[in-house]
Amino acid sequence: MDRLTSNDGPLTEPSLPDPIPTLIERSEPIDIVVGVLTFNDGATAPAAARGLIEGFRQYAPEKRVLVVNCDAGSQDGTPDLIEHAAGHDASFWAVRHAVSGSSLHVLSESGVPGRDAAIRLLAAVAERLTAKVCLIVDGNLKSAHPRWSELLASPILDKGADCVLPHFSRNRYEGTLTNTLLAPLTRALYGKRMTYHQGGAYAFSDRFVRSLLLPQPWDEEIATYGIDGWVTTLAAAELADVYEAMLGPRLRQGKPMGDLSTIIAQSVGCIFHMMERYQSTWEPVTGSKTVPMIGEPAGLGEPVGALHVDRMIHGFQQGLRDLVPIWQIVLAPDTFQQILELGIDDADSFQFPSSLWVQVVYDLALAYHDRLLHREHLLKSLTPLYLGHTASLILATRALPGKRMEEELERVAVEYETMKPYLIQRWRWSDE
Amino acid sequence: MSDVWGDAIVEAFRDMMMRMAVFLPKLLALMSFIVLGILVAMMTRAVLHHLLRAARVDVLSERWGLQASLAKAGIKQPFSQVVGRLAFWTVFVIFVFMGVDALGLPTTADLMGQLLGYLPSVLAAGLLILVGALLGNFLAEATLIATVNAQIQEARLIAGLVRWGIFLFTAAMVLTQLGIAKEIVVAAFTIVFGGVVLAVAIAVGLGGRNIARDALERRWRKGKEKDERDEIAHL
Repeated sequence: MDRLTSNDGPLTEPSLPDPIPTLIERSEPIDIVVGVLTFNDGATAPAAARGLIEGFRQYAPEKRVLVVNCDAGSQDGTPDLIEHAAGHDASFWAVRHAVSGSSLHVLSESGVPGRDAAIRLLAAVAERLTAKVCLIVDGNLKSAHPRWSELLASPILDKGADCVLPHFSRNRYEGTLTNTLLAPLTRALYGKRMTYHQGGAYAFSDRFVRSLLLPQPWDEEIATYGIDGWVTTLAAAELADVYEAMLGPRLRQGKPMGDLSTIIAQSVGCIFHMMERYQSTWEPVTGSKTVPMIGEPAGLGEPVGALHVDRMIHGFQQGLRDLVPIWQIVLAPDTFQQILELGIDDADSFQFPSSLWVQVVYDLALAYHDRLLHREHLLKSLTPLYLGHTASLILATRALPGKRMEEELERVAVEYETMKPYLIQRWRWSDE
Repeated sequence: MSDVWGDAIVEAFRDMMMRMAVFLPKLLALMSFIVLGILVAMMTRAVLHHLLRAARVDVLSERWGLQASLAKAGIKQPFSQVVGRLAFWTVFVIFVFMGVDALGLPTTADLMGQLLGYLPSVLAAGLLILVGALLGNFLAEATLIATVNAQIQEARLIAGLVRWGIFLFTAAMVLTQLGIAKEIVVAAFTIVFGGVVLAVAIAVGLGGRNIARDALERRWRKGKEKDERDEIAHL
């Protein structure tokens, strides 16, 4: 089993805002730190915090729990509402974390500005208190359940896991970017079959916090790429014992933030960025293994709401018309030629083969590595191609049962693994 | 007769030797300036190259897309190397001018002074062209990608307007910097810029009422469509 090695070297200590240092000095020993990330989440965060406290009372009543609300500057009295909801069943600290300029212009999909600073702060608090588990949840979740406490903490407390990532039940076409790019690419690179669901809820062991999370550079790049993708990729790339917790649906207050191209630039950019850092790790990896899961697995639900396939195809068509000079730079000649040949005569019979999609993704990873174009432009130029592949996937599977859709996604994932030598060969060639 | 002949030869030889005695040190000075210029220019290039690399200018220029724009213009070297090369030739040319000046030729004395006086303007103009070209290409590319992703049909037109708007503005600044027909450039720029704005105003206000209405309707519809589009969570 993959294990983390202990890192007893000096850590870069983040400066903790007042009154946290004083509270840490006066604090009794704590077993579990529960961090609640909020920004004007007064409608949902108190219930989420209360639910987790209840969950720990049932699952591990002997454990000492501290709830820390990391708030980005709510105007609706969120910290007070959480304190009121927490009552006397758990210790409670409220802290307003720093929101730097760089965090503001890259509001994460969660809608909490300075989310990276908040997670770093919580990790530092957990490390100073020598807590065994650092559990972090989003305050905007309506679906947080008391059972989450056990699902997220028990792999660490009972099975010695390093990191527990969320696995939410989803509808058929929910998370297409994750299902057709982020998860299968991560799986092919690092050999871990993770669903790559970002945000919502995490749990980290004390080892993970000390050896991996806190030693991160915590520079502007983490804020740019988004801490959620960063942490998920870190868990995949490092020798960490990772579990996935089946948490049911992820229902949020309000809609996810950011337009599609920004989401693509952040999430895909994060994986590409980490590919450079972990080149020696992913190059020798072949095949993949499942990650242990806890909770009841759920298949793909039926699609909810209308699917605007025509608009997706239109987005791809426009890319084909206007972005050709850019694609010509970032794609390999063979890939580029195949994209041009796709054309679209009949929208209903449009097909974007998965093998071509994987080739596109690998070409972009190489173009990112070789810096053929400004990196943000390069990543955002993927948007029409992604829309084209998604439209093709929907057209091919919408009449099929959910099980067949899962098989189709598995086929895409296997394609990433099969074509990995293409990536390695060209990557090495480019490094020479 | 023979004395006159002998004196003429001696006189001519003495004059020649005296001229040589005056000119040779100047020639040596020119050659020294050229050699010194090469050495100083090489040192300047090396120091500048190392300083820029230490300041991670190459990484920054790649991140900002400057490197890609240079590559499009046929310049494959890293940005620090390009700046180093420019510095080399600038320093070398200055030393050559100093050497030519040392020759003391009456015809070149004034020319050198004028050229040296004009050099800062030329350098500033060169810098303006470089920045303008890079900025124009970079912003046009960003605009093209953003408008295509927003599925705006006139993406290429908008990106072209951004590129040529910046090029036009840069050209006006360069000509003003070089002092070439300042008044005409300012007047021409004002006329062109004012004309464009007026044309757009008239087109939208009179000729393009229907187009403007359609555009506004499309925009309003897009607001509604955006809500529908967000039904699929991509992450």
